[in-house]
Amino acid sequence: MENRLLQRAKRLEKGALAEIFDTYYPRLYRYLYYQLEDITQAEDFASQVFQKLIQHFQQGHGPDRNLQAWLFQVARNLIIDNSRRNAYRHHQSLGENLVFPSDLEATVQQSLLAQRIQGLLVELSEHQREVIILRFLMEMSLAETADTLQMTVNAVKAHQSRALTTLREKLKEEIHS
Amino acid sequence: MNDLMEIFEELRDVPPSPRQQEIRAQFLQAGKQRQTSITGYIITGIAASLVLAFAVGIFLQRPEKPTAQNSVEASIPFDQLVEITPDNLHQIKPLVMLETGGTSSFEFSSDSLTLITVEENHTGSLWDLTTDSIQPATWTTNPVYDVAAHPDEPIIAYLTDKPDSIFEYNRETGEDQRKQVLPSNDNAFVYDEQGKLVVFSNGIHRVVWDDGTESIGLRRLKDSFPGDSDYYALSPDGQYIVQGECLSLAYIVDTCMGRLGLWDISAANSSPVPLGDPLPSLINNAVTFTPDSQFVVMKRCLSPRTVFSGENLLENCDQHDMVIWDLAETMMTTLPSTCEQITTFSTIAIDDITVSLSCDERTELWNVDMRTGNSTLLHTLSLPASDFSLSPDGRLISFINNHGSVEIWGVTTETSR
Repeated sequence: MENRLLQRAKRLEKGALAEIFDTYYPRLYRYLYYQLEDITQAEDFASQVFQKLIQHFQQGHGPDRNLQAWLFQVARNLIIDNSRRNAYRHHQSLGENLVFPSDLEATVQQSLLAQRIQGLLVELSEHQREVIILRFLMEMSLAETADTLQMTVNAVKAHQSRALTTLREKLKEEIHS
Repeated sequence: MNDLMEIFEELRDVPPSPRQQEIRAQFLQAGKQRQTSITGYIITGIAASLVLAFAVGIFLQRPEKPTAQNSVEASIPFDQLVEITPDNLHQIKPLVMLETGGTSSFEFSSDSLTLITVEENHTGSLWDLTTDSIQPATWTTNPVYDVAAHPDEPIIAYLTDKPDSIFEYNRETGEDQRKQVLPSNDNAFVYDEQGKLVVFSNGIHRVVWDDGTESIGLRRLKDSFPGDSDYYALSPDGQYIVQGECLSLAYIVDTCMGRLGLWDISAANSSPVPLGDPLPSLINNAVTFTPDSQFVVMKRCLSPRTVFSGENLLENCDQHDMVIWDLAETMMTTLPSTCEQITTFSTIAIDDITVSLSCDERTELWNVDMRTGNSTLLHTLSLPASDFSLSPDGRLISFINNHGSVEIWGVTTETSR
């Protein structure tokens, strides 16, 4: 089904392009927002990703399958490029930009705990943070996460396992202290 | 753990994108602008093609042989195949490659007449093996991630992009139904020999569910390891769960110092208890059962190491071995393979225990006699492969090659002489 949609999109059929945008933009925007913390920047990056998609289609390239993984990989590359260019963030790892919306905290009942989680996420490795974001915030399956991060399902499982163990241990430490 | 999942759920909300419609319009406009020139190219291309086709047609007025779309021809008729045994395994040869690409799961139907595959784009396909011209049919438009075939009926169990639910599809009637909602997205499932669907859900609480205890509902494993464990397997007979756990903080990718536990889930009690004490083991995150459910096969890392590369910490394992654990005798056997870095492994039921393992662009097929502990290298294929499967009639071996496509191999009457 996705193959047919991509075939139509490569012919630049408006209906197919609209379907792709409506399907993937919200997810892509959410992912970029989790990573960048900034609505405007998330929108700009999402726009750039879709412009790149169009350019690839126009050149007769672009993904033949698994469009979602392709879009997320382009988005990840943009984020990495941006963090390299940004002098302030030059010495920060990608995950240190992971901050959640401040107004969200007021709306959740466990806001204090949520804040702790946000703080703890920055202590995870880059891959672990990305796996946590994709698996539990983006609600991607193991296979989708593996495709997006270009690693094996087993590697995703390993990163996920360690990240959750670390988060749980840190939470326990905080509760005990 | 509950708290973690609840917090993740609460963190999922993000503020809406105010410019979504504006960006959408820009995206569609970009496609439209270019479409004009693309159309020009297409028209030019078509015209050129017509001229060329006409010119060629003058010399080659030969009608094309009609072929079914996407069908692939087997190089050797299936009716010339014989049962695969340890003695003729070395004569195995390729019959057909199904251009599936990125296959993540496959299984033969119980009558060996259909191969069910799930590809990278999560399309589920049924490959009709009754003729030598093999044609796929998409059996569901839902994204599919994993499948299992019923042993007696034309029924397929599958997980979709809603992986917290398991579905059943009847290939004859087209009936498609949700069987059970599960508490986790990480699930394994099999049909046992009686056709009972057994599911293990590796979530916050490790639970099992099956048709036989449907009225009881989800059964929680007692004394399951408190740590996260993605190293688990459900036995093909639906009787056991093997679960590994990392205990060491010094674990590396795919490897950890840990323990391995076994749970008997066959009794319809409300909370299956572990069988004996956990087995301390240096284990990899790869563990599986043999087809007869009597042995657990696992890949171990013998030389875990961590290296620094620039600012990154790279984790690696230079040397593996394969270990077979006899559940009845609590005996372990190590394969004497010379493979150092094993990439994938699988088990098939050609004889007592046949283990396949891939390394260094090759795949070794080993037979293991657990009574004597002797292992015999039956055959080596000169390509890496994973997820071997033997058809129930014993005539076909399918595996996923290094391109993610499914290859079907067999032994013919001619070669077996």
